[in-house]
Amino acid sequence: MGDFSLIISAVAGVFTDGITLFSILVGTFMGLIFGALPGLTATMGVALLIPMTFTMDAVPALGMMLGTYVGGIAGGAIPAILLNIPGTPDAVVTTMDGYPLSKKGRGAEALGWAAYASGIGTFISWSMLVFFAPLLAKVCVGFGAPEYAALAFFGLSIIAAVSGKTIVKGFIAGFLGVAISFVGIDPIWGNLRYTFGSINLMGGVSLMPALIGFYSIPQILNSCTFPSNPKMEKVQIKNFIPSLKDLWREKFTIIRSSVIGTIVGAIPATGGNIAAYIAYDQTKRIAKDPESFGNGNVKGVISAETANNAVCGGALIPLLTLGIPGDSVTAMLLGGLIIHGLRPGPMLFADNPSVVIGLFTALLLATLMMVLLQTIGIQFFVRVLSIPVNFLTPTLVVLSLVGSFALRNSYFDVLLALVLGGMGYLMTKADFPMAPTVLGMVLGGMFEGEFRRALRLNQGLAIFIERPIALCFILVAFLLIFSSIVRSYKIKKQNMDSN
Amino acid sequence: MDKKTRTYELLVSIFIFITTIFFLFISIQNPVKAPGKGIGPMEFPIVIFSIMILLVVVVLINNIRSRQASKLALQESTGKAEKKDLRLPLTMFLIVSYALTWKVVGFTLSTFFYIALQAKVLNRKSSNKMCILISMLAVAFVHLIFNVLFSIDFPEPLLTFVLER
Repeated sequence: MGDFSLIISAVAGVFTDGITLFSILVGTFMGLIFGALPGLTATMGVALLIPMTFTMDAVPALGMMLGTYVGGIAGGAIPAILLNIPGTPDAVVTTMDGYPLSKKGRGAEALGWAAYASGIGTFISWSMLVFFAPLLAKVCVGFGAPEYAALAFFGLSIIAAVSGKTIVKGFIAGFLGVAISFVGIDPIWGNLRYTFGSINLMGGVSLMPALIGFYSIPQILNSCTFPSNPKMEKVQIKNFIPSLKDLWREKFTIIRSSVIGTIVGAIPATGGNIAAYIAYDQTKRIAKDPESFGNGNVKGVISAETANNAVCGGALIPLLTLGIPGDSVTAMLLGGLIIHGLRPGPMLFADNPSVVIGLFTALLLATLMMVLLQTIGIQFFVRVLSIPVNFLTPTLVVLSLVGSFALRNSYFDVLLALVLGGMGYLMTKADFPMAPTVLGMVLGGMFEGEFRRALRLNQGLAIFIERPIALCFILVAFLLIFSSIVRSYKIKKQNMDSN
Repeated sequence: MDKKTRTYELLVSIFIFITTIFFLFISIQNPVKAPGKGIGPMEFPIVIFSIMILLVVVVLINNIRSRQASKLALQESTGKAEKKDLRLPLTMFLIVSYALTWKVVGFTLSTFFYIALQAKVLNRKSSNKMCILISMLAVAFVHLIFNVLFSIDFPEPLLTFVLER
């Protein structure tokens, strides 16, 4: 990474390649649309865009996905401000002051602040990503099978944290994902497992139809009964861009919220919603007029939007350096990296430095494009809110099934996506969280392979105690599981007491 | 948890329970022991399936217990009958039919009919012309992106048959 000429050539490669620039632009644009439409999320946007990137090189393909990620989180503020409906779960906090501002006739101002605060938040978290990720990767570069197994175990322990109050169901969903990863050829011995003689299953359950099945199809089915065109507050979009003076006035709110967002994002299983809550709460505590929060204080929008977008850069730190996705979007990005032949982790920085630099540059460009697209096209994104659900739903179904088909030109994958989609829909209806299934699927194979390799090479479990880094990861994982169980128990007890 | 969610929970748990038992049975039937301290291909799955079964049993017991507890409450409540929304079952039926007709009618025609029908099912007030127009545009868009740009060949048995004659 120290090679200056490599950095220059990789950065220049992104800036001068028309296809890369175009794909980042398309990704960001699609992300803003997915974020703006209530019921659709950045996760679904990334899942649907992965098939469109199969034939591309890694950097433009991943640039497109990163654009969708950044745009998807930022776009969630538009319906949050205008409809009081968060476009994504990350924008829940934005509704608190965004909608009251809109009701006061200051909707345009709130939209402007949301766009610029999101941009600055992502930029600050990007700076931290660029600074810390290579350092962390350097520390982790000497990892062997025991460390990787412990790392995957730590990643799997996040299942407990993302399961919320339904921890047992979360574990079941997670183990289901791990069980799906068993299908195919055994990673150590090469035996066929659970293929039932099908050639289509010999390579394992393909990641793309599984991601689409578990994420897109349940979401489409859940949103098909949404009412069309909810009532929107009237908003006149003019002079909505915050001036430099305004931005300077809010510098402390922006910097504080960015740092909170990045740190929260770097902690697996947290996410933009938590970051936005913490940043909002901190801003309210420090404010001279805390009573105005919730009634249309622009600082509320700034802190929430800065923090939830700052999560993007923070979440990429564990994803790229350790290969650990902290939430469903980053699990989807991990799937995208794997499909393009890249294995995130310390070796990614050593083996593919130009790709890593390309990704960093693409994230920066996506951030700039997200702000630019909102600045010149905010009218369009506001109009997106009136797209009729009855036309959107079938289009998304077609894209989902085409996406499942496209990777291997396999009709079997289409049927697989449907079966897993049906299963995913029933599971969401039964209150089973879906994020653990994706985490289990993505990390299950890695854990099994590395764990068995470590046992074979070192003749026993003692190796996990002898290697301090592996031991550290395992202890943290157990701590995470234990604290999640305690938290879940407390929530359950509180609910029972209140009943 | 409401009654509907509990019913779904029961169904999903029973399904996972039966499937997991089946896979556990297969795993036990094919034991391949590893030499030394390594583990064989079926040993890790056996552990995971066993834990899954235990966890599903916990969910099932909780579900049955909460059913019994809520029976009294249900008897007391008069509960209004929910108005049935047919859009969801019809959407499911259309999606499955759409996927199945790929191999028979072909991708282009089935996509065209699916989008037009689905749009009408979700909003009966939509005009037929609009549904057909949007459907045609969507088919053209998908073809442009995937077929022309990414050279992905979709199954087209009917069109191929007609064009070849």
